[in-house]
Amino acid sequence: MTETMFQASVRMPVRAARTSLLSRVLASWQGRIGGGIVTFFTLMAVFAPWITPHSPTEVDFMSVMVVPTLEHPFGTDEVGRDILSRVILGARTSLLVVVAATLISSVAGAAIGLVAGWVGGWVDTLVMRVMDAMLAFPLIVLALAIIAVLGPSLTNAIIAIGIVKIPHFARLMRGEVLTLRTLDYIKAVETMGLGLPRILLRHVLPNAAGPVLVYMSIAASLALMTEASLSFLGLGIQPPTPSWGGMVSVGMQNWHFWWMSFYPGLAIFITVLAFNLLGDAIRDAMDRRLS
Amino acid sequence: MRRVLDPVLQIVPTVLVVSLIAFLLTSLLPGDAALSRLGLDATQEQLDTMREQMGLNDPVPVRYLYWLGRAVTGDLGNSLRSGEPVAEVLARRIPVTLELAVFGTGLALLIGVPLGILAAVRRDSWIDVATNLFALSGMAIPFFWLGLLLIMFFSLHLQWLPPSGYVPFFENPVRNLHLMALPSLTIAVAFAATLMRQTRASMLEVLNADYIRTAHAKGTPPIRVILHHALRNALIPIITVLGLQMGTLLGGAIVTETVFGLPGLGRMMVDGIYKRDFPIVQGALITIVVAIVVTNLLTDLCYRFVNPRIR
Repeated sequence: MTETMFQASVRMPVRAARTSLLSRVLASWQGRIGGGIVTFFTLMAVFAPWITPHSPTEVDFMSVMVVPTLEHPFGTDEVGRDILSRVILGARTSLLVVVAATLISSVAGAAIGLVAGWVGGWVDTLVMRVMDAMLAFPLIVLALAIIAVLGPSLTNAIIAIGIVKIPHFARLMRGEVLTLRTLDYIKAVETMGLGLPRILLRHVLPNAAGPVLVYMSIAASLALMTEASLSFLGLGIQPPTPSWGGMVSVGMQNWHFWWMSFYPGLAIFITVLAFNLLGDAIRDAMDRRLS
Repeated sequence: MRRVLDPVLQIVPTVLVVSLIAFLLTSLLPGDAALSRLGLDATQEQLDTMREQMGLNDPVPVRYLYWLGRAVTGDLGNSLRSGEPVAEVLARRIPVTLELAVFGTGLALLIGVPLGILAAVRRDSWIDVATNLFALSGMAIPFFWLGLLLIMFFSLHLQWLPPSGYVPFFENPVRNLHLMALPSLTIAVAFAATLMRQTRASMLEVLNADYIRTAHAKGTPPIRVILHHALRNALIPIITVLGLQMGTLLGGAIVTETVFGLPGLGRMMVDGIYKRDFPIVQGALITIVVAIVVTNLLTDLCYRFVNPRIR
């Protein structure tokens, strides 16, 4: 009896310490709302072709720029396409850009930071100088400059947005690596004479990955915003592929028909907000686990 | 003297790398600069002479050094479309973006700092919750969408302000201010949100300090404690954020200029990309980034002088 009670009282804190990151994230209202909307957005993007109430590409000159009604809850655009359907399909474009661009920047940035931080010396100085110079450019300005070279398209938008976030991940990773290098267990694997790739990939990377993963949520929100801005300027996703930024831009030329720009813009706003909230929640959850 | 000189010298490599990136990006632009200068009916001979004259046959490092040498003396080349010197185009465009940035920063300070103080002083009250919601929304709202909403409300619905256009300040100050009001507000909101969060955080830190309790105990009026004792010490991180956000502000200006039809640096860059006019893109790019690097430097210097504890 006493023994079981003792065990129980000992186990409690152990289990509490093991609570998964996910449940800690979902414990905060930011995590629940942000996570909920991001999940909704992802499902909407994945199932887009099956859930649009109308065809997002079908032109209907009998119902051009129709005010929102039950038939078309978000109204129709300048060639009679259903805006709700286009907003749903636009989520797909946005998700593709966000996921692909964030993968490019996190993988490339982490690799650069890992090598620069580990090797040190002039390689580190040179690489970080270039990263700092890239950070001096506002995201949208550097992305525009890259688009100027590559030309506007979906693939190039992904590449441009992927590249502009590389320095952020590189700096983050480098900082982690510099801290890890001083720790005994990393010194130990070095002394054991393991190969460099094995040390970096098996021992350094997994222990430095936490902050990088946290930052991905913030990077996703910035990627979404940058894609929307590029498409709004006409230098991102090209029509007829529906993109939220591009739809706002068309709506701007017809601003008496408010719904044309209002709903796609609202979609960008809510999704960016959700990614920010989720990012805050993940950061707080990690902080609490560390402390 | 070292306090001023060190940070100044530190930005030299950054500016060099920035100029190299800008040069490489734009010298990689597809399309033949000689062809776009001469037009499609140019003969092969004319094209070859033009390429030689423009130095397009030289290796890239040589072209970079020539370009850098000319850029330092203020010669950024000529527009490929109009033949106008890029420096002259910049001279016309910079005041527009500068005015937008100054008004935007001013408005952001007027909105963000008082709200931040209020949120910190009335911590956990409905004011704190409301300002937090404002900050969250302000940071997530796209500049172009906010600009459109403002146009729809203030120009189309209330008909108070014109929706778009630009008149130089010295030509017609009243009309200029009317036209700049909505764009300035558009870029101010996101900035105000960041400033508000920073003001709240640094005020909260300071308000818990012993010397604030002492000031209260002495019977100093609460307003004076907040503004004179607390805010002064909370200002340093606020100044830092002000400088660091200049990039976001100028990035926002690019998009905002498009919404409101303002002929600034951002519009110059976007139009340059559309027209494949690379000296124009290069000029706008360099100006924006140098402005940001210099602002960061000034912030750094300000910081050192405001806070004597930092050496």
